[in-house]
Amino acid sequence: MSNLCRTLLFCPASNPKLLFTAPIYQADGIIFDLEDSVRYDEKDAARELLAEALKSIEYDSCEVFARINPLDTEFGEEDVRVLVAAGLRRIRLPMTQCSDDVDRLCKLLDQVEDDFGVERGSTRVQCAIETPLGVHNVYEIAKASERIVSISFGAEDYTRSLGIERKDAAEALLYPRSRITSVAALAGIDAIDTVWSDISDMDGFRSEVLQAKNLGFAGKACIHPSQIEVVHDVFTPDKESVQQSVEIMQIAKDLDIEKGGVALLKGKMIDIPVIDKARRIVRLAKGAGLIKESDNV
Amino acid sequence: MYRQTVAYAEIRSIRPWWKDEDESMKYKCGSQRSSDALVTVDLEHEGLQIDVNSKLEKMFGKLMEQACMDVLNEMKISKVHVIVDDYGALDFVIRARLRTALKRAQSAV
Repeated sequence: MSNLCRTLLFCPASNPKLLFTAPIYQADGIIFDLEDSVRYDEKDAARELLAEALKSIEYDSCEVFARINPLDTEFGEEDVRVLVAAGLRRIRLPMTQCSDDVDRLCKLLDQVEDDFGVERGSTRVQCAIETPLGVHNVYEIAKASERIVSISFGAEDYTRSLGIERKDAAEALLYPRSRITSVAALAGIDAIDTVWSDISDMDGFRSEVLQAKNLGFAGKACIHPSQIEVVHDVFTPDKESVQQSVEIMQIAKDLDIEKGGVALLKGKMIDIPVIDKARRIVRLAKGAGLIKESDNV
Repeated sequence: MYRQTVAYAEIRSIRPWWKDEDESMKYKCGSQRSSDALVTVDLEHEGLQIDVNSKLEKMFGKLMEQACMDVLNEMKISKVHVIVDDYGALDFVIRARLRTALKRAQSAV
């Protein structure tokens, strides 16, 4: 699993102000976009702007992704080359439809990392699944490379492919969202849920965030800072479950049952699945600052 | 449908906004938005000239010029006229805008 990724905030890389103000909103990660939100005749300028920002700005613990242009466009390969040289280590690959798409990016990354003296394999990839074909092939995509840290769902293009309205698509989206979270669990990577485009409908947004959590997503992509607090509220465990998870981890360690065996805590059985769940909650709590590293949990 | 197709073709053939109308070697990058800068370069210029227009020129003019010089040295360009119209841009923005304007100009040569 990667670092905490409850929220990934999309920002157009073409806007200079957002490049240094975006971290203020304290999303777990930022996706600087070079693709859909950037005008065709400004693609080159946005790429250079992001490259200079990466060289100048300390983003601290906030993970920075770039959504590159597809590799079959005139911009995609240059996006990778310039940004990896500038220090980018997280790439979001749009419209991933099959393992060949991942292979093509990874071969390019091998070459670019060698060219610029960057450690081989240090640039990680998030694959965006945005079409029925991508959903169909998501397992082979998720297993295509060690570089992949997460798969994300893009409902806007998916619903467009089906010819249905996004706002009425809750039932139609249940299958791809469930398939993506199942595959992510199989592959041992994170699944990130789709954006919610109507920023005026916060009730609808909260409802979809709750559903995302219950489906097994690790987080949700956001398009506006106002969405971040809602996602953090839903995805951050409450104090009671954190305390219980800490106790479970401690007992598992004391009784050496982390790899097998059972124990009882306040009348409830503890075994490997319970310990794994507790470990996940502790990881979230640490990332959210509810547990400090010095607490030695 | 026909009208839409014609309109699209016309849009595609329009000269990019950052190329000057007089078809000289002046190229631009950036905008007049807050925190941005509009950088214009002319590669047909004899010698090196950097003009900074900024409300903060007295405080940061030298730093802005230095940001420009860093990019020019990196790209090994010694004959150019650079005009920086600053709207509160940080150094990294000026560097990025200048580099893009220079690349646009070089790609047209």
